[in-house]
Amino acid sequence: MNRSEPPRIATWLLEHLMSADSNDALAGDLLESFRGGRSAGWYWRQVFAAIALKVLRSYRRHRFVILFATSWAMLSPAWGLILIRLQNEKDFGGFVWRIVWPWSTLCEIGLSTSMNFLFILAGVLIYAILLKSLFVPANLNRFGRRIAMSLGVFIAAMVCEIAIALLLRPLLSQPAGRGVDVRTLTLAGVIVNFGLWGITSRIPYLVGTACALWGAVPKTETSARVAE
Amino acid sequence: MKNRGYLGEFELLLLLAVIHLDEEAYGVPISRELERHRGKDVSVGSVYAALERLEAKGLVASSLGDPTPERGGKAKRFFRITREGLLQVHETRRVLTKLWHTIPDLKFEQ
Repeated sequence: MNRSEPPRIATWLLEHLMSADSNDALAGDLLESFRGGRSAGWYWRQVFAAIALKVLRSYRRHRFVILFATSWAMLSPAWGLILIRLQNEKDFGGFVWRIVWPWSTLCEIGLSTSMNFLFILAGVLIYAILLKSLFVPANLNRFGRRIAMSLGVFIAAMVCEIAIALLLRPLLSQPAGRGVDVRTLTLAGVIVNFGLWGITSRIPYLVGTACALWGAVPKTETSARVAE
Repeated sequence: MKNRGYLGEFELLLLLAVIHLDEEAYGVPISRELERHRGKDVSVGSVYAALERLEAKGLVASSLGDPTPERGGKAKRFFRITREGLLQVHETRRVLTKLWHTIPDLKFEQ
C-alpha cells in the first residue's frame, strides 16, 4: 500500500456514506493526519466512527418518522386482510382473468400494488394531519418526489419479500398465505401476529412509509450550516 | 439577563481548544489538542458533530479555507468562538470554580 494514500475502501465509504457539507473538511482532515504519520488502522477507526455517528444523528433526527412508520406498518396485515376480503366479495379475480394474457398479469400486479400503496398514502395523510394538529411545522419540501420514490422502494421491498418468502417457505408457519382460511381471520388477530411471516410482510410497508416521510421532520431540529 | 444553558464536558473542552488555537482552529489541531490533554484517542467525526451542534446554538462560527493539495484538494473548515460562546465559557467556569470551592480536598482511595 502506498504510504501517502489511505485505504481506498475506507475513503470510498467516507465519500459515499457521509453528507457533502461536513464530508469534505473531515475527509481532508483524515487525509492530512494519515499523511502526517497516522496508521491505516487509525484511519479505518476514524471512518467507522464518523459513519456510526452520522447514522446515530440521522436516527435521532428522524425518530418521530421511524416511530410513526413502525406503528403504521404494524397495522398493515389488517389492510391486507381487508383487500383479500374485498377481492373475494367483488370478484376482482374473475374480472382480471377475462383480460388477455399478459395484460391480465400486468393488470393484477398493478391493481395489487396500487391498492397496497394506498395504505402508505393513507399513512402519509394521517402523519400530516397529526403534525398539523400538534402544531408542529415540518419540512415538506420535495414531498411529491418522496412519494414517487417511496412507491419504487415499496415495489422493490415487495419483490424482496416475495423472494425471501419463497426461500424461507419451509420455515414459515403460514407459507405465503396458503392453507389459511381468510374467513377465520380477524383484523385484530392479524395485527398481533408477530410470527416470521407476519414480521416479513410488514417490512415493505415500513420502508415505504419511512421513505415517503423521511424529509418531513419537524423544523425545530435544524441542521447546522456552514457560514461561508 | 438572557437565560443560558451550561456546557457539557466535551463541548467545554472543544470551546477551550478553539480559543487556544485561535486562527489555526480546524479539525486536525483541535483533535490533537484534545488528545494531548485527555491522553486518549479522539474521533474527528465526533469533534465535527459537537462543533456543528455548537454552531447551531450560535456558540461557534465556521468558515472554509482554500483547498490544498496535501489534503487531497479538500478545504479546511476553520472554527472561531462567538461572543455568546465566550460568555458561556466564562459562565461555566464561574459555576465550576464556585462548586469546587464548596467541597473539601478529595483523596483518591486505592
